[in-house]
Amino acid sequence: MMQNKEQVFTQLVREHKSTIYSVCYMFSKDTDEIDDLFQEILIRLWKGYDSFRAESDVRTWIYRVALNCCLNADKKRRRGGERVPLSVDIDPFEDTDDRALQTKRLYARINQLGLVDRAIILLWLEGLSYEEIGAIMGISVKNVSFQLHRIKEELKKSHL
Amino acid sequence: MNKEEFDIGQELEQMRQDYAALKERFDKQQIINDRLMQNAMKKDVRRLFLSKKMVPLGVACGILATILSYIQGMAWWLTLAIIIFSVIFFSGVYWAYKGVREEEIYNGDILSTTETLRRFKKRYIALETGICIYFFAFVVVAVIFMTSMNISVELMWRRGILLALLCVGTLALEYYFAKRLLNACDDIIERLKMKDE
Repeated sequence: MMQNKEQVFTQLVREHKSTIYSVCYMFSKDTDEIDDLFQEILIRLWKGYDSFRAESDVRTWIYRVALNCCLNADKKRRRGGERVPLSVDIDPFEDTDDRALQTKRLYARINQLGLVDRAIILLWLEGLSYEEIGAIMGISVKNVSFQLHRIKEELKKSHL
Repeated sequence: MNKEEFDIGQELEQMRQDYAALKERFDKQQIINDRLMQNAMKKDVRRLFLSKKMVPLGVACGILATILSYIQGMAWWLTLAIIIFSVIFFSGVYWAYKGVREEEIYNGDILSTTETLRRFKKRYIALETGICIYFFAFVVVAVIFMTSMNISVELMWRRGILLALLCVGTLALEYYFAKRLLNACDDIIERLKMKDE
């Protein structure tokens, strides 16, 4: 039974790995920090897995945990403990090919925003509905619309 | 659509494309190895909060130790001081941790999680302040009691000042770190409640 639970969880994480990794990337300053955040999120997801199963949408849950971890890590910064290296060949902070430059451009745009704005725009970039964004952030749909409008204005200002 | 709106629309579309490309890159990577998964499943969550099971256990140990000490000849006023301290400490811990379940806190939405963390931290700081004040008051009272034991006044002053400095220093450090966290929480809450209020 436990074995099965672990397998289901592993599969779930593998399916959403790029989402988790992208969120970590947008809230980190280097690859070590991505590793730390990624592992912290995995641990939190596993520990909260039992309480999640009563809920409905897995994607919303993963975003909640991931963003809570990232925002919380930013409050405290730098944790100790063992770090297991991720199996990733690309280094989004160091690579210089065209696609990496594309990634860096996006990183630069998003990183000029505050933490909350960064979280909201990430969810929007993921293509989540206003209802889903509201459920993750804990705000009304009307507020999501207002926040997105404000963030877009901010991006526009910084571009001018 | 004016030129400005067109530009920001284009910019956002560009960001969406860049984001999709980023995810595609990560999708092709293995990222998660077996050791990482095993680590996540076996590792204990770094204790942000004290386990609630520790509270009744602590109360039981405290009462037992106090009773034993009293039986073995500890002064009544010291016994009373320890009992009062235990009551303040454990009821304070219960109050600070009330409504907080660490296993679930990260599953909640951003606003409610931030509010819970903020409430917890504020209560925790209040508890620490209370304990420091009590501890200091206890030392002052203890010193007064000890006067009858022929300890020099100068030595008492020195020890009193040292303890006061320790209490103030501990609190100042705690306030400094808590302030940073509380400010960060306030920023998040303020941002998210901007429209709802």
